[in-house]
Amino acid sequence: MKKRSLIYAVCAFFACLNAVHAQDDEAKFLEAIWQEAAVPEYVLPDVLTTFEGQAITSVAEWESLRRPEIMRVFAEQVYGKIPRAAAPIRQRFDVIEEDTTFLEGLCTRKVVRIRVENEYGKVEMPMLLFIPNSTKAPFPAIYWLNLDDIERNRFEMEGPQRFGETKNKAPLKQLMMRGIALISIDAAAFGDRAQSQALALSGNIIPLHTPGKSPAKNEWGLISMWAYAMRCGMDYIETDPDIHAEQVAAMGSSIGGKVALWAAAQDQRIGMVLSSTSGHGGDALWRRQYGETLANMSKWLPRWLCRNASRYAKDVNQLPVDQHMLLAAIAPRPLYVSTAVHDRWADPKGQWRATWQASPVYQLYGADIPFISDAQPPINQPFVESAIGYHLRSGFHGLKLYDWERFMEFIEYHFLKIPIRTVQEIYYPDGQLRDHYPNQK
Amino acid sequence: MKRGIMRTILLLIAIYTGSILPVASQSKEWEEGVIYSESKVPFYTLPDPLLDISGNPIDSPKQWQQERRPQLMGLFATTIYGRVPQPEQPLQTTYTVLSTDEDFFEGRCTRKQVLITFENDRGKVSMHLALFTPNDIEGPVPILLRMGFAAAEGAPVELENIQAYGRLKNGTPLIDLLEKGFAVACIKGGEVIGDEVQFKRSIHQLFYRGKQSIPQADEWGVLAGISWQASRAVDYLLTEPKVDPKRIALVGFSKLGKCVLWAAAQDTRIAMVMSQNSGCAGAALWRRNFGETLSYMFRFPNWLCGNARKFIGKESDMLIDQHMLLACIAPRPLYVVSGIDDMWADNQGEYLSAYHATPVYELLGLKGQSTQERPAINEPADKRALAYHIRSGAHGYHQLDWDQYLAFMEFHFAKGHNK
Repeated sequence: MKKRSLIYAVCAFFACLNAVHAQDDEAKFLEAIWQEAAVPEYVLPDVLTTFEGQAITSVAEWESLRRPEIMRVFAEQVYGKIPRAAAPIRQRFDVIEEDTTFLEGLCTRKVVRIRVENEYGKVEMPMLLFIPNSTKAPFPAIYWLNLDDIERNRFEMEGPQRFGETKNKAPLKQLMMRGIALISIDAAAFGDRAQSQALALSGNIIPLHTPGKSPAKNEWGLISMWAYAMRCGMDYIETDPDIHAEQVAAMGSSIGGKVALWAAAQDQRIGMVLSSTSGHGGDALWRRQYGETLANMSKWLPRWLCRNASRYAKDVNQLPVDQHMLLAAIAPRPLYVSTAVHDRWADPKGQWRATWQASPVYQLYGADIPFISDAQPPINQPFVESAIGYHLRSGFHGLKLYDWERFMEFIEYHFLKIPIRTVQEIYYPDGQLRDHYPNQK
Repeated sequence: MKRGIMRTILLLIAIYTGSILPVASQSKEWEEGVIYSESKVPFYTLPDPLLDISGNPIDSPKQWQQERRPQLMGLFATTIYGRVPQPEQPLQTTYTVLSTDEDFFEGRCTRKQVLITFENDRGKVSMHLALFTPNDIEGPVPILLRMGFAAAEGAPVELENIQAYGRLKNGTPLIDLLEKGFAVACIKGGEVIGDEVQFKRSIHQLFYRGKQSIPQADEWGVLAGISWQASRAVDYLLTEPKVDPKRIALVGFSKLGKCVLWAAAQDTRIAMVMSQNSGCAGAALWRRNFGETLSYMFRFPNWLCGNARKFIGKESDMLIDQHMLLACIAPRPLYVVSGIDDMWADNQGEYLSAYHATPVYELLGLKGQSTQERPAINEPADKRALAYHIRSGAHGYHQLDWDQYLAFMEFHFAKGHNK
């Protein structure tokens, strides 16, 4: 009898696990505007006019007046600021693994443990680095925000059917051949992804700052927490001689894209942002209310933003900022916005509008922006040679090889200052196929 | 009873871990002796598709169609995939419409789910088919028959959420197909194969004669069984007034990329075929021995017919190679797709096969791949009867592949192009 109930318990356990996987926010998608005609009228706050109505006409004014006030609103009303630490925080970096012969000797794989602690608690976050084994160190790097991919071994290499590709589909071989390092952190160490649907935010990094208290209304949500993880990772990256610290491109897809944008807006050490289908809370305008909305996010993912953000759920037009201003806050650093035509939840048109509306600030810095009108560029025609990179590709939500390749080109254009290379040129240097044949184990 | 429960638990554990853990080791693919370097490919000479068995040149389309092609098809049937035998008792085929939803995908298309059952005294085997036809177009439309690994019923033929707007959960970009005015049908390649080793609950059993317990050396293996399944799906599609019988395209990937080639070679009602990352026993040449070889193919003991086993290590003794299979599809449009990092599939061999099949397409007055050097990565050589692209990335469907397949259908199936 006892045995049988145990069996049922085990069955129920696995059934639950699968149910949790399957459920995954399906209901929230039903509450959305999907028709262009139903999108309400809206007026965007002008990025170059202060809240008091002063026109911004110079970089100095932007940096001393407008940018700080925008950042303050994002910190207090959207993502949540990080409260002061309750006691001084100590950081420690330990290289715990190093393999210099990884991927047929093309790269070095390094695991670093980043420890953040004070007397109220301790967070340990793994960082994974893949560094090209050529002589040209330091290298530019793609700094990829991940949640538990490291823990789940999703950075392991595939077999010869997918040679040089990781299980989470990073084109590692191509990155290494182009001389671009790949860095990833497991930001879930700072705040558990499972909390995204919970009302209360707890654990991990919080006790170091506000021990025994839950966050105030203007204090961090998960995006803010994970962005903080990225910034702590930057503290290590700056010390690594193999990485060009000024050439670190924060990258993320979906929620990761939102985090990468917010991290880079706050941290000037991040030299570039690569945002893939990040959508609302990232590169899409709240005010268009197409696809996901602030009301929907407040209801279904209440911990992503700070609690203050939900005050604007009823009337998003009351929010003093919109996401084009977050993109503008990245300026003058290169920014790439990658969108997909059938990713309707993320509102590809709103993503384009935010990109377009951010460009006046880039132009203020003298950057050459190739967009000539507010008409959305056609499908599969990427803008790479531009301070703001952009594409609308065919297909669906997510980070695809097409995005990776445009991102690598963007790095070649801005950081490496070399003519953009095709994949053919990478694989066939001097016209001959580069032979990386797998180890005969 | 208890055993049943334990089995259920093990199954649940297997399903759950299977969904989160990497597939079991691929040690075979890393074994000593697998060739992954172009410089280690052995010297070989390919048999010429345009010389007949006695060495006489084939120089007219008529000679090709009436003499050479039947010879080659006979050789593929009896020495590679296995021929489909005559069953002792004919099969009874029944079509049962399980559901019709005229308002699928916001009313853009009608989804019909059909159960196709084959039956005789020796048993009964079924397969599902899910058909999606555009609602806004009158009359017959071109169709893409997609043979996939996912079930053709239940969740995989439902729509994804709005983040992947208009995509089926099995990965088919329904929205793009409908926007081009195409219908699409999904079947699960291998649904009629119950067990690949003993052929239990497989279609093969219905074709046994007397006390036969396994297909004979020249009779069909697993791949031929799946190819047969594609033709049975075509049988059904021809009963659908909304489907244009002259414009049926078939697509398959990996193992199913092999099957679609053999299906299209045999069944000329298949007007176009796209074969993706098909590798060994698909588009790749046996004689190159790069990546997977005939020997490794037999880790699946019955994918090919028993006769094929005799050529392990003696690939040059074969009277055929896979370029001839591609040639047998001529003059119908054929698209071969490779991934530069799919080394197990021998992506270079997949191209060379297309290159060496081209003389046959040219004999029939059509264009193929006429240079020994393959097109550059991500630059499709597509506006022709025998199209090819090698893309960056590896084994799997990428958006570029779907975009190209749709463009290929549009190019060949557009009015005026349809011969």
